[in-house]
Amino acid sequence: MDFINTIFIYKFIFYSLISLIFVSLLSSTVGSFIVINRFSYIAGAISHGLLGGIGLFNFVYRYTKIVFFLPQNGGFIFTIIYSIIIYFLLKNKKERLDSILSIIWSIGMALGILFIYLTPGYNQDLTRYLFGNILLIDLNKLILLIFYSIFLTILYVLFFNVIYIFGFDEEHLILKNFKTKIILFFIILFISLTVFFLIQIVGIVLIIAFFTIPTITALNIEKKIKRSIFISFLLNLVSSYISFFLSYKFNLPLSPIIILILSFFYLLSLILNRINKFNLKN
Amino acid sequence: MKRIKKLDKIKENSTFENHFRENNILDFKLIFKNVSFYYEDNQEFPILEDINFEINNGDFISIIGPNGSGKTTLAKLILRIIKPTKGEIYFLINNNKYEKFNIGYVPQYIIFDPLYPITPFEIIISARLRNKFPFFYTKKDKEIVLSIMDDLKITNISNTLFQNLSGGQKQKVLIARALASGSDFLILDEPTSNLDRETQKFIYEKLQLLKKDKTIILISHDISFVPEISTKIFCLNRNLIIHKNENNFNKSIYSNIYNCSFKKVDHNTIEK
Repeated sequence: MDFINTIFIYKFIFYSLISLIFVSLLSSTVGSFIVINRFSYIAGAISHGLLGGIGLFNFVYRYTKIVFFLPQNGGFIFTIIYSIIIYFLLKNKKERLDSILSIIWSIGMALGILFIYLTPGYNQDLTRYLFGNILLIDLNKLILLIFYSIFLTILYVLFFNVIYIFGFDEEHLILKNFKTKIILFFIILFISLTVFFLIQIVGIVLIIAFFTIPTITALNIEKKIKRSIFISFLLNLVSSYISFFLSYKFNLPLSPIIILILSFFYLLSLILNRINKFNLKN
Repeated sequence: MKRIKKLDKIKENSTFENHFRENNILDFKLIFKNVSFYYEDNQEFPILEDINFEINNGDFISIIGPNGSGKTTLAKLILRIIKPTKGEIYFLINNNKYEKFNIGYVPQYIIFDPLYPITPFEIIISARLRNKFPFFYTKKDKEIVLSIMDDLKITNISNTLFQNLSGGQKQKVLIARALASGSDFLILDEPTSNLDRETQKFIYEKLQLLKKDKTIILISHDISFVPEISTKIFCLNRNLIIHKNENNFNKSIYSNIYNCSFKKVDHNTIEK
């Protein structure tokens, strides 16, 4: 009862509980796509690479106080730049993608750490980007998150048949007169934008876990893609709310608890899978 | 010279049963004019050199030739997956030139992620995907796919993951996808290479039926089946030599001229 009362007394708890629904929506739709196409390294590289842009803009902002140089703008600009680079890498297939992604990953981190060091004072903003804090979401961000996730989900539903086949057999879409390069560009762009949105809430370090664990657990339970996306959404939501309650009760940081609960479900699904196979054999 | 247009108008209105008659396409030709193709990094050795031919509505063309002679390249040129280095390829429909055409294609193999969670039903229905917003499948699409799966006897595997299928079953799924596109022009790139004798016969019997109202290009090494169903045989080895299929062809002559090492298997004797 105490917990439920608190929700209505403190607005920020209410906001973050609402935001968890939409974070789950994003991480199950975009995450499913990332997992089946093996794009998780791309998501990792972009999220870590963003720290460079955030750090650079934070540094400039401290000295100039020009609104354009707010750290989140830096993140946004770097998101666009990275998605263009990755698009060209994927399109041409000439460079080794994973090596270039590692470069993006480490340059971003290097820039970020350098500018955190150079910027005077305590950089509360930057640590928030690194580890995230769902409790710090304000009303503006919440509304933005709701609109973005609903927009992306509608887009995902409308284009699902196309991007599902795109991952399986690109040549087939070329035969059907689809412009596969444009499809690829938008896929990369929306993955990057989602990463950019989510790191402000869950943090750079934990974002890949949010994308991969629920989907891979759901795929262990259900092989059919549409159902597994729905299952991954439910898993995400349930484990987020369980973790929220636990973190409230024991005064623990929220994001790591969510990841641990999700991982627990993943282990459970693995064990259930084994038992199922064992039963089938006998 | 007339500008090459796309065939979108015809594609939009076409339905599964019959493209040609509904759109009043009286004659349809595929024309290769002085076509050459070579890769950028190997300009001295063209894959295909100065190829000229015409395919008419209702033809059954078989393309034979040794490994590396450019059979698959030829198919990909027709499909516009790659573009010719020299020359031009176009469809002539009612005296209008078109660059592209809705073609049902069975690739020799497809490169796919072995863990991709997709079922045969979802693969076959992807042939019904139209480049038209929104990209949903209709009830009719599902009915067509189910009837084709029934026809090829793969209904029992419709919900198995593609990764768990045998080579032959995968091949059948790809053939079903080409048929589901509803096109009256099919290109089959070695459709029977993975199949056992029994299934090969089954596929060729299906082709025999399809021959009546479709134009088909078949790439195959299978010299024992090919001459029976083809109206023309193309022998490909960089250049192209066309043979009208006569009743008294001689298999050994084919293999001698083109240096192709065909297995001279007579399937009638094997069955006995």
